[in-house]
Amino acid sequence: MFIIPGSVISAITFPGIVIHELAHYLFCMFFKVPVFQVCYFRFGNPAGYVLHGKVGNWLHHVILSAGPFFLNSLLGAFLAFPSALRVFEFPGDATALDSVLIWLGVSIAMHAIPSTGDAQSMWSAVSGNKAGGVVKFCIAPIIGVIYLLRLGSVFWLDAIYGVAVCYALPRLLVLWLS
Amino acid sequence: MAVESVSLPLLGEIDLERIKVTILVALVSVGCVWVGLQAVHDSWQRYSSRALRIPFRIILPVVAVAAAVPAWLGWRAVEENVWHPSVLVLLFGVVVWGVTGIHSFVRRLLASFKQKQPEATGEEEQAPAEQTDPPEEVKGVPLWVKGMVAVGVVLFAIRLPDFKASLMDATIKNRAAMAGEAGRYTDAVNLYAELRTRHPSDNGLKKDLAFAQYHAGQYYSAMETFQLLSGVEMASTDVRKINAAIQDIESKLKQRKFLSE
Repeated sequence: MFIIPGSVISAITFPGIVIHELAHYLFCMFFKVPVFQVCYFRFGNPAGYVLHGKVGNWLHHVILSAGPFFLNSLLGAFLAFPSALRVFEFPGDATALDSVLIWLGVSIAMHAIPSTGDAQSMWSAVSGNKAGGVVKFCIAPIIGVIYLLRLGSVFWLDAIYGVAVCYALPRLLVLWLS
Repeated sequence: MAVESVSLPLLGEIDLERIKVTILVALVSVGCVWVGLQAVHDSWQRYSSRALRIPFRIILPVVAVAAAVPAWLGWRAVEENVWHPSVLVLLFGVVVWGVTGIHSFVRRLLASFKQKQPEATGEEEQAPAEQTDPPEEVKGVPLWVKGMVAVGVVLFAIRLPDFKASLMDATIKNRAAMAGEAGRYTDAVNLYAELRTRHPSDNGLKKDLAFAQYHAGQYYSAMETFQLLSGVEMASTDVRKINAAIQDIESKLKQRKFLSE
């Protein structure tokens, strides 16, 4: 297994971490949750974080924690969209600009998976009397999937997800047009 | 189309477009670098207690060099009639730096106006201070984050116009592959040949075209296309398949020659 230290991966894919924290921050703003500290990127563990105040209800808390999954996936796919076909289908014609866009897209998309901190935060939002049993029943598998995906990052699952997100959309378009 | 040109003392005959682009790039760069330095100064003041004084003897050469490099690249780009992506990225980087700098400058200006208001009423200073201050709320996104997002969007915008062509070519490639799988090898050859004219350096396409020609019975064309792949580094499985196809073609051609004799 080819293992690269997490700090090196974080440094190489720093745009993804920045966008991940930006997504948390924007969702905080959207739900009018006070934000006290934002670290968009640093060399350390965690590579970025957002410290925020009390969240209104459990649903807002869950969306706030899962927000980067949607924003990073969408933005990654969006940025890589014009270059993905050129890079994956006609690699001989890809330029430096295509490589930069693919790097940006994959970096952003691979940091879409919420962190274990996000999962803990999500669970704390529904634990105790904060939410009903049905909600807990729905949220628990999501948290389980997050932990599994995080575990899978050892096997490059996050990078595989990043490439899949960037390539899937244009590829689906090609299949549809064919 | 006639190219308008002017004769300049030291530089000789130069077309006007080149001068216009160079001047424009130099002016934009000077402005952006200047405002960018202002942004650096602002950031320093915000995060450091020490005052930052940049003397003019340092500012001027920095601005001059930072403006001269994009201007020179712009000059070269017009000369070669090609806007290399790196030139565009550099220029847009300078513009983004400038825009963020202007934004910082405007914010500073507005903040200075707002700060003057309490002095005008004279009430704020007399208000009793709270015993325990709540933690300060973070408002706004740092300029470098906005700049990073802007650079991403600009790069996306630069590449977007080519997307239609890439999409069409990828669709044709997919149709060719589907035609090959369905046994319609002549259709596949036509589609791959159409693509090859637009992507002459793509070795994967050459390989696909050669195999389609081989399966379509166009042995001479297939041999010619396989010849184009000689010396190209490929996966061992591909090399084995190509060698097997070439041997098969050679034996079939020999057989054909023998039968005709």
